[in-house]
Amino acid sequence: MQWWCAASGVPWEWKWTAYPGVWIFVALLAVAFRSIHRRWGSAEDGARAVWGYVAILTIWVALDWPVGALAAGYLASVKMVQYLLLSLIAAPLLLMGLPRDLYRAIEERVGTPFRVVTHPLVAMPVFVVIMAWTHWAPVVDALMVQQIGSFFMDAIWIVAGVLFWWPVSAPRPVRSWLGDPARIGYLIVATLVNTGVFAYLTFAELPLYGIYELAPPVTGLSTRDDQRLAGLLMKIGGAVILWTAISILFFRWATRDVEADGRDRERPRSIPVAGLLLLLAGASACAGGGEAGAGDAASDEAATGTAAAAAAEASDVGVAGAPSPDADGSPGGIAGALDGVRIPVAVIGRPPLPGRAALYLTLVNAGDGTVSVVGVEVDGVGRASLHRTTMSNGTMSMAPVERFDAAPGERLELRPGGLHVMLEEPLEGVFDPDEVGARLLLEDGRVIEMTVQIVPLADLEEALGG
Amino acid sequence: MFRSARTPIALAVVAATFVACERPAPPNPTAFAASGLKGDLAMPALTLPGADGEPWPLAERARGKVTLLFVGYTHCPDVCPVHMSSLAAILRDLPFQTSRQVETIFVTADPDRDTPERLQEWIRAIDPRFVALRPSREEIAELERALGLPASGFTRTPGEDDYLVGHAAQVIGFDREGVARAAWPWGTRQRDWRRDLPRIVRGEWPETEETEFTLAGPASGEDR
Repeated sequence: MQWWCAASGVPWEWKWTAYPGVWIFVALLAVAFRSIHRRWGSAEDGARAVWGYVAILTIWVALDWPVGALAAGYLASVKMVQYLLLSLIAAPLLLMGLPRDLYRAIEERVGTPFRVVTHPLVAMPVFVVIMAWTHWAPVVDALMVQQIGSFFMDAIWIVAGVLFWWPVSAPRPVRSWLGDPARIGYLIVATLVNTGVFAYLTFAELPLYGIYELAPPVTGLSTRDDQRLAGLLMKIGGAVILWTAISILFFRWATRDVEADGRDRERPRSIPVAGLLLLLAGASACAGGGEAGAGDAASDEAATGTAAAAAAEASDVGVAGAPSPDADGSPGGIAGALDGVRIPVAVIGRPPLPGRAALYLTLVNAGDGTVSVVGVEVDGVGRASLHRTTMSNGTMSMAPVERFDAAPGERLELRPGGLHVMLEEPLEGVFDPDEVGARLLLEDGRVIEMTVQIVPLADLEEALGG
Repeated sequence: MFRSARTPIALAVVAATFVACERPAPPNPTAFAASGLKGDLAMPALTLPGADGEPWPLAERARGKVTLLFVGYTHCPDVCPVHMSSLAAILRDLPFQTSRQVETIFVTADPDRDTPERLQEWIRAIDPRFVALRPSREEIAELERALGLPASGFTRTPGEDDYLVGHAAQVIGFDREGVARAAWPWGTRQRDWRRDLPRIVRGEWPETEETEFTLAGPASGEDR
């Protein structure tokens, strides 16, 4: 019997599993919440209690099967969903559900230590330290393999979330000096503080967490993609939650005409408008940050290829030249060039079995006239013909074409699924080396000498620049 | 719950200290994740059928390249896909000049369910450069005997058609002469492969030590 979700290394099955520890924890939470309302709640707090029960339900979903089990030992992305549910959704809902008198009672009874801990300048840094510590790979790998460790992490996320949200949720006059504008500022700062963990997860070259890397696969997602998804969920999911809270605070502040002390306070009309603009700007910046992150992650993978192509294009080689492989063997240099026509990259995917192959390339026409390719010759290949692959009614078909045209300034790209050069009747072993000589025959009689890389099919996309 | 804020803070500090003490040591840049083999095991002179139907002479094809060999099966829920995917991910990362010198061979221990089509589809999904072999049961047993691997065996769950296959958990590395030099255990991470693969391509291998091959999955259950 497993009481709490922990990493077990057992292959995942979509079969319900009981975690009695989670039920007991949630039940105790519900009983405690009900007792609190009985003791400190008033008639006005009835509606608030609903938020509390929604919070407890959220905690249950986050901790029990399947979310809790997947998070504990299979997927970092689900672990991040669990973090968002516990720290950023359940925690504020729980605070919204507490009776107002309880806040006063706690501050009166616990006194100064509590006021210090829940001060924004303390609560935020403590929350950030806990968030960073509990996402650090050695900590996760050590805690998640034990039920008690997993429980500790879940519990500390709820506690950290409550601490973080306290300055925002505590009703006035408990924090009378912390008005809505200050709370909005607090949350705007909060949208930035997870950037370190986000970057740690999203831009790591290798899997960070051993428990997720060596876990039996659940989805087709690779460990690295799962980790990147976790980072993006933290940034984008966290931003959505925080900006929702900021919006609620803003509109509450903007629409409140009468302050709690009964004194009318005229607020310039421009303030809500300016605030709204601020919110929209923040939200778009936040979304942009997320997209940029995703883009960066994706561009990381394609970096070798695109960098090679860019470097090749940047160098204005005026004569045909052989490629100069980089020190690490990655493709570099330029495949061929002649009178303003450049071939930054030309690649053949090495066929798994002897037979046909295809040649792909990029042709940049920097000259004044149209360049028409009417033929290709590849050393050791009997026949090379110009082809176009098209998709029609779900069927892919291939047909020969007479020529490839590139207008002045145009960049002609021969790629899988489109234009390509079909290579047939190759001599035995012609695709075994890493490169082969080839010639592009132009309509005006010119010939562009090329050196074509030969790469495994799996590396074709990268060699072509992603 | 607590009379003062000091108690939970103290608990958190204690827990943090505990975890800090328990955390694994950082990877040693000079160590191998693999165990060194004695050097008296050569790639068996067997010719096994590939998933594509082409015969694959193991000893002959092992010469001139570093060969990584793993015995598993495509219905394997954990060890096989994780081992193979980790290798594929790192081989994709490494410079082409390095990765092209490594041949990765997956030998199925479950030829009944691993039809040629399924085996090819599975290996291509992981890495099209990998080689998949589909020997007969007798050939598998001969290969395991020759390499000193534990015999693979089936474990059936009563009342279910499905079954698990116990098989060696290690990836075995052969040098360019076709001599077995190292075995990477289950639990080898991508960071370990990233460190070890370029070194074995350069001809650096771990020190020889006593190595006992272990089974992944259920202990050898029913006889074939």
